[in-house]
Amino acid sequence: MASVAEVKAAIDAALQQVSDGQVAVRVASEKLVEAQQSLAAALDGSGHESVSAAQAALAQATLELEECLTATLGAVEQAQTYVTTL
Amino acid sequence: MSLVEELAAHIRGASEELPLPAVVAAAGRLRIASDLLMWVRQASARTLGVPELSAATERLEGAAAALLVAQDELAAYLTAIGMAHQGAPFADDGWRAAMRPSLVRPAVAEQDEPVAPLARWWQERVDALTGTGGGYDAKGAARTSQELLKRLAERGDRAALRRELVRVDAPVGLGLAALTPPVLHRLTGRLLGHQPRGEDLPRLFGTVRSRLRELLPTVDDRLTGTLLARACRVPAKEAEERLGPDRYGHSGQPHHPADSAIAGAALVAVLLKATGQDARAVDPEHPEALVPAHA
Repeated sequence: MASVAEVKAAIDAALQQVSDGQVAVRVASEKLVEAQQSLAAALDGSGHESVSAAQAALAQATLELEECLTATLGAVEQAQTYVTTL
Repeated sequence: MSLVEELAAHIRGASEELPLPAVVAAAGRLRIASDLLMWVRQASARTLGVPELSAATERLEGAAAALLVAQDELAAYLTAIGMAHQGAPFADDGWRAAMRPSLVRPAVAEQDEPVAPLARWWQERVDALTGTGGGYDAKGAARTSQELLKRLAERGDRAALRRELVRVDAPVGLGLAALTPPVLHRLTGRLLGHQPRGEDLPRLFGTVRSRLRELLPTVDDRLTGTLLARACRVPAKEAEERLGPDRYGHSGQPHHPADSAIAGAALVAVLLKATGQDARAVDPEHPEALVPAHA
């Protein structure tokens, strides 16, 4: 039978993984912004459809990362709240 | 170096710097966190943030797919301006890197981090998707996600698929979700005879749906379409337009975190059979592995 300590340890371990994941997402977001700026400077003036598509995809990736972070914040809050009730 | 060469080098450099490894690493962490929380919540009515983590992981999968789309479009642009030799190299090597254990993060079972004893939720999900049941025997289980995918590729029937999947723990099984997209990209290209494009999606869907359902009778068509769109590196908006809401995305609730992994691996098996290839095709060290379709 699992003990409260074991449940708390599992949740702590999960929260550590989420925290590591959040760091990786933030790193990815920063690199993505750098790549977007670099490409925007290099491709300024291009009307090629592949350039537009690439920029749209990068914008979508940025949005996905932002929404990912928001979702993880909600998950962490719920898990932490649960721990306080144990 | 000419001005065009300089521009091409700049674009190529920016493309290679796109943060795919960080996104893949983050998704791996969130999957492990989901495993742990799903184990904890087995007997609890509280969700503990598991649905939010599933949504977050799905966002990361979407971000990874968008980054691959961006890389493909940049490669296409380089080709269009006459710098194809600058654009080609980053088109198709992802599957090989994904399948090389030495080049990817180790499976969770091999990490030093403590892993809580997981309950049977992974096995139960495999049974739900395969429409089967029975005992769970962990003996002889694959130790890494790469090994698991190779075993699944060797056997194309539902009983064998179920047997290999239920043997492993959730972290090894969930790792399939990170491996399969580049492999599927290569296999869809092989099936089509050209780089997969948005207009290929409906045809691909029609080709694989019934075969996939032979392996996973209860798989959601929207998940099948989503995996194919990612394999073809089609932007989300275009994929939705081409496949429609019944064959792309989800019903409002994110898919179960195990589903992408299980269905992705089953799709690999389906596409191998459809292209007349065997497990050697997903062995990065085998000389016949996925010989370029358009070489």
